[in-house]
Amino acid sequence: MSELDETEYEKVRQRMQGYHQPPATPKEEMWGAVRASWQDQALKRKRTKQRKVWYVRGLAAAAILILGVALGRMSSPVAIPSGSVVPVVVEETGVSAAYRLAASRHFDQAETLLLLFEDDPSDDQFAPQARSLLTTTRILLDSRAASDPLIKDILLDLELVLSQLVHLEPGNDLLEREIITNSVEENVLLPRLRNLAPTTRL
Amino acid sequence: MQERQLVKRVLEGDPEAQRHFYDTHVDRVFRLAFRMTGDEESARECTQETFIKAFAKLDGFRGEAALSTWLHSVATSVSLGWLRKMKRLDQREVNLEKVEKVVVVAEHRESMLDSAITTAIEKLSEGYRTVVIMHDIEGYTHEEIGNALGIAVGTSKVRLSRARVQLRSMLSDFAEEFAR
Repeated sequence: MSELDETEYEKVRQRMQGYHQPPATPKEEMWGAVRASWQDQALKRKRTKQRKVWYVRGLAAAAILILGVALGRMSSPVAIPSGSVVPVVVEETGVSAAYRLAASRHFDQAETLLLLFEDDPSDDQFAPQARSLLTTTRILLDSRAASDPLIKDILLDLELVLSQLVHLEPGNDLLEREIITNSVEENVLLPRLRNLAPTTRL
Repeated sequence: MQERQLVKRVLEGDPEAQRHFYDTHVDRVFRLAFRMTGDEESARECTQETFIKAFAKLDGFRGEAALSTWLHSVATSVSLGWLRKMKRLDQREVNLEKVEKVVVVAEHRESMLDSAITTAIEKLSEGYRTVVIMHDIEGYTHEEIGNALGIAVGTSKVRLSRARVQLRSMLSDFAEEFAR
């Protein structure tokens, strides 16, 4: 048998229209599922946007507070003249109110960053933000705030996760991001940050 | 409404814009998904997934290509991914000998022809079959196919030409039918 020529193939082509002939598009049935997903995604986008705004504002406030803690730490060995009043509130754990407030603000910031990461792990903007938080974490670890075992534990776990985030490079594969997500989940970091924050607040 | 404006409104959650975007493209996306998968349930799933993925990636749409071209690149990727995932391709690579038996017992010459055409299309490799479906059946241009599949226009043309050669050869037993 010979191959089909051009004219004959054209007839085949017309007949091909019957190949997997589509029925009428079930528009409305599909629209329900599509719309529900779009609404969820739009809500998530809005939430992420709000968190980002809040995060930037909070970061500035926390930076000022941390600077104060660092300065206080550096100046702590200075001898206090006898008879003067020490203007620092010391609680049972020995952690002053100022340190607690600094830790509280820091945990809020960290929680927000981790939530943003959870929302969109593919975003390449986390490394610089994590670097800034990592510096603060280490300052707090080295300060009197870490004399509270609860605060110290969470700071140590946070340091690990933030170190991983700092080393994220643009375009890194999903596996690396999954490792970070797992690390956050395994350490139950988000609920701990959330739960600890109120106890450290004044 | 201009495409960029439409995209912005869709992303902002404007229900009217979202419905307009969906209505404009859903028929063509569904048709392509059905042609590629061959059954309604799969075509529905692929179409829904196409629009869901498209929305998630919509803020990355820069307008270098037409919105429909961009959407169809998502649609083909979803349908091909789905086919691979379900390992449908392997199952559908029907042995020609088996089909010849079906053809022999078929009562009508017309249905024999349709069966032969279906078998011939399904015997094509994934790359050739996709181009044949998009160009010869659904009427996409080579530019659209190139953009959707991420291949050069020339590659699309070569694939179509080679696919046609294979189809002509596979259907040569029916040359008399088509010569009438």
